[in-house]
Amino acid sequence: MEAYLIAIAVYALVYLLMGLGLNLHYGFTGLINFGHVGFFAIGAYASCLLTLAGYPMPLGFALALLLPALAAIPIGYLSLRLRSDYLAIVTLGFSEVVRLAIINEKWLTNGVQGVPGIPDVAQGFGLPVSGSVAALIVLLIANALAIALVYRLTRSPFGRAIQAIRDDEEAVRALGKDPGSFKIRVFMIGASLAGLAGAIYGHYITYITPEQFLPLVTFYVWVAIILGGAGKVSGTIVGTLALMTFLEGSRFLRDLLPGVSEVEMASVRLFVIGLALILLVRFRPSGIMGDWTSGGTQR
Amino acid sequence: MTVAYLMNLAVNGAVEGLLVGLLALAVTLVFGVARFPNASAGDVAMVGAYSGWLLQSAIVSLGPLSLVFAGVTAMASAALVSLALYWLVFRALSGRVGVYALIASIGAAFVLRSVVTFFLGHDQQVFAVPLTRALSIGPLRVLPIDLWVGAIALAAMVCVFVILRMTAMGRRMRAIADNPQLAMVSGIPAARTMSGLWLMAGALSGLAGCLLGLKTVIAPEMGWDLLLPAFAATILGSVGNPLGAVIGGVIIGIAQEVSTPFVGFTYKIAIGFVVMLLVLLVRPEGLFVARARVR
Amino acid sequence: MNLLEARDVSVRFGSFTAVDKVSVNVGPGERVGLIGPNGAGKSSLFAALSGFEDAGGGTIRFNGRDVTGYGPVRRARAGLGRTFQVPKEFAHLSVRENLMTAAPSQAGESLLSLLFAASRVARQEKEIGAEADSHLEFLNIAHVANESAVRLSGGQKKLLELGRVLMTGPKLILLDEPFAGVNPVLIGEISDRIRELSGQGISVLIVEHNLNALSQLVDRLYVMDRGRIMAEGKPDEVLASDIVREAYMGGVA
Repeated sequence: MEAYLIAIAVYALVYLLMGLGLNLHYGFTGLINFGHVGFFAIGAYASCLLTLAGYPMPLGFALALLLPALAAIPIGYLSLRLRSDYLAIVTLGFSEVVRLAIINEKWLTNGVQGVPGIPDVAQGFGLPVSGSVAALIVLLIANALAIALVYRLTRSPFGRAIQAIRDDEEAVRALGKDPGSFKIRVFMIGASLAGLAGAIYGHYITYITPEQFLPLVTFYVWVAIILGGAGKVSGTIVGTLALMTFLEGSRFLRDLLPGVSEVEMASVRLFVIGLALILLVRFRPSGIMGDWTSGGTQR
Repeated sequence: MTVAYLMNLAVNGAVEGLLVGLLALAVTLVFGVARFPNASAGDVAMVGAYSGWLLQSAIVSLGPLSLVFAGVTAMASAALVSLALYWLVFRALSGRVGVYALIASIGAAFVLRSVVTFFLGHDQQVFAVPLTRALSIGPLRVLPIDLWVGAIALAAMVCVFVILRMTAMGRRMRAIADNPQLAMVSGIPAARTMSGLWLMAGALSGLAGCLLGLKTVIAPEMGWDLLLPAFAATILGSVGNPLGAVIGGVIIGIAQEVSTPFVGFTYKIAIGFVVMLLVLLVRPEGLFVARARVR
Repeated sequence: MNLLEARDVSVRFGSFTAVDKVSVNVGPGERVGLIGPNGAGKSSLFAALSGFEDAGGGTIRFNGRDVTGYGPVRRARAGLGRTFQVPKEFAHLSVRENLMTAAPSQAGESLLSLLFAASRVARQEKEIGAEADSHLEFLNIAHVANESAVRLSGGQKKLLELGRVLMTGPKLILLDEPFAGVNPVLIGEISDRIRELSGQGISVLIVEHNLNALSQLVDRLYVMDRGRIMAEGKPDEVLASDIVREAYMGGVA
């Protein structure tokens, strides 16, 4: 039972870390990123492969922050030129290309077979606890830092500017500010958070395959963001909790329905996530906590 | 690698491109009129393929005729699913921010795929097709099934163009695409026209799925994998331009196949993505923009 | 010497010419009006002057510099500010934050300064906040400073936009229908504010349909119709001329 609770907490914190990044993109800046799992995957493979090659885990984490940020730069540039629906398609395509590259570049990633035997977080940081507990500790620290960072950013002149861009980009330009540099930096920061989440996730489960980086993961995070209310840190936390309750609840559901196989349960989860996306935008696009699309009070 | 080999790839690519174009046609019609990129189109195609396959497995004793029924079933079921999505989901979202409809369409795609995998599993399926030998045309070797697939796709496209150009329903669709407000004011029955549009888009998707299943295999991810190339074809051919979508599809189909010896099979889908990126950067309005719009 | 000199500016959308080789100029501290029927090309001309549309072969000089090749960001930085016909408030920021956003070159917009020069950022925030407060006082909207901008009335949003552009330290402000949807009392107030601004040397070019209020406010008036300048001169003279009566008012007045 304890192991189970730790597992839930780890997953929740991985999604929360990703969600904080996506919330910077969409919630605060209005950038539609449908390829968040691409940054997550880059972070996971970067850190896991580097540590497997014998380098220390902190260096792996650093690379997991850096590489997704670099990958985000060209996407950030694209976001300056593309309508939001095109940006959505392009980012979705980006994450699929990342997955294809992982499948195809077997010399580096071992293709669909995946990368086994990844050092766990306890080994990596020399902690006298189990790998899961170590992952939990590192995730707690990472999320605390990330929440502090997002608060600091969004309540600064920088945060004011990105929210202004979200509300009316043309007006921002008319005031002599270039939205471009803000958007690119936001893309980079959010991608880094997803990358770090990927790295810790990889070291937690110690075995990564391209199958774990399907677009579905991106939309898990989207459900959490919209469910909680975009453009609010509290919304991301609440939304992630709600998402985890559902994902884990579906496991209990499986215990209640003995005739249902694990494969069928995957279908059920896909169904509920799909239905949640539809129902959310249909009936409650501003989420539980309310957001900027609802015209409610800010923050 | 010989020229003949590349030419064979190109022919194969053109046939696949026609299927991409078929789905792109469905996407561009909805994009042009309902104004959002419908990400459920691929999975509607997948549903069509599976329902065609289910029917054919039941009546396989009829021989090749069973394939005809399978195709009709695929189109009909996909059209109904598409219409249901419009009435249950997208109609309520029209007039809202476009991203909402896009997110909902991804949700719809997941729902469709989950239903199919829940009841039919993840295994690949194939249509029962009579074995035939490849025809040799000069240096080209073409499978008769590919000729059929290509010819049927072309015929369907011609039907769509006839509907768009010659019928009152088609003219109303184009009017809404050109200027939704004006169309509304001038009393075009929006709900009926939109129903017709979603039916047509669904039938096209279903046919694309069925033909793709006929040419390759039927699998839960087939529609999603066809979606990105179809989006690319839509943008390449200028959003809302049906002929452009078809030509864009063929270009992307050929580019994907001909590039296979150079980049490998896995990166095939990525080629469509790269083409789309280039278009968006160099000429975001696409190759075949109908006319300069007055903003 | 003129502050703004636009020569032969054209704006085309496809085959439709919205602005056809128009020339306008505005002197330092001058208040100039621009009137014309709907579709005359006024907003398109504004778009070209503020860099949102291409000048179509014409040239635009501002403050002694050729700014023809500048986009909107650089023009705004050069001191050429604008407001919009439909106010573009930052809906989910407070009124005060709307103004503070507009302050140029803020240290807190750099991530490095946020992390390593927090005290400098905090100091500058205080200065910017004080400046925003003084503009809010000046525009009589200090009482809604902490409201979300989306909650303001139409007239208050017009004032918010004016306050925001004042934060950029403009030399010329293009005002697009500042009186639209504004009650008569507030129109008087906005007019007073604009007069005070030109007293401080800030020029304004105003598109407006409220001819009464406009003619009392401006020194000079341009009349546009079908993409061209039809007349120019002192407000009462221009409004009395036959060309304007026929073109603009369709003979009604």
